Amino acid sequence: MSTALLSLAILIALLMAANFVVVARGPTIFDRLLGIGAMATNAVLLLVLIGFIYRRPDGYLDLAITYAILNFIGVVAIAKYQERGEPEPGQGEEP
Amino acid sequence: MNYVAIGLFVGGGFFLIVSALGLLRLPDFFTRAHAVGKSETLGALLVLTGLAFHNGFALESAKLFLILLFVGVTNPTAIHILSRAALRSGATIWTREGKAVEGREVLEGVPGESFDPPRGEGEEGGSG
Repeated sequence: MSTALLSLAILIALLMAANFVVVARGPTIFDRLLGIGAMATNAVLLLVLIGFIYRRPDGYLDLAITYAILNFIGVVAIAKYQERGEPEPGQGEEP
Repeated sequence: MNYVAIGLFVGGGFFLIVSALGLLRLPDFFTRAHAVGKSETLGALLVLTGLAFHNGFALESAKLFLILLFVGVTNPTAIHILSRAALRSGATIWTREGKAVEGREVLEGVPGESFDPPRGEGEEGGSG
């Protein structure tokens, strides 16, 4: 059973690397933010899996709850900030 | 019970792979948001449910249920807010004909959306 958990954890780590490619190359900041959100969701899953692999799920579950809350607040805050931020060049000029 | 957990792990891993592939390969911000917002949420929910089945009936399962509820509510909400911010900031929308549509054109006649040229003289937040 621990083999299944371990292989799932390795798969999720690889998927986090794949998401980081999007964060690195995304054309706009929203693409990067989307990749960060996906990475953080995967990180929550990875924390829970690590807790169960090491047979000490208590602390890791609390860490995962905290990280999920921080992920949501961070993504929403940056999205709202960028919504009112600088307009794209040549599009939002004030008359 | 272990077989149920392994089946849920396989399903969750499949949806997580689909989400990562969609994030890598799709042509547009909004299609990528579609991939992340649905597949990622479903994969996370399946993996967490599988872990709860693996763990059995204990306090950890209650915490897992809490995480499951939180991720299932907030992940689509965050993607929705992000997509709305991108649309209002003028992200381009991919179409099959290859003609890129700007987000502002889509929001042209929507009543609550005010970033056609700002009307008031001293109004705050006139269309970033």
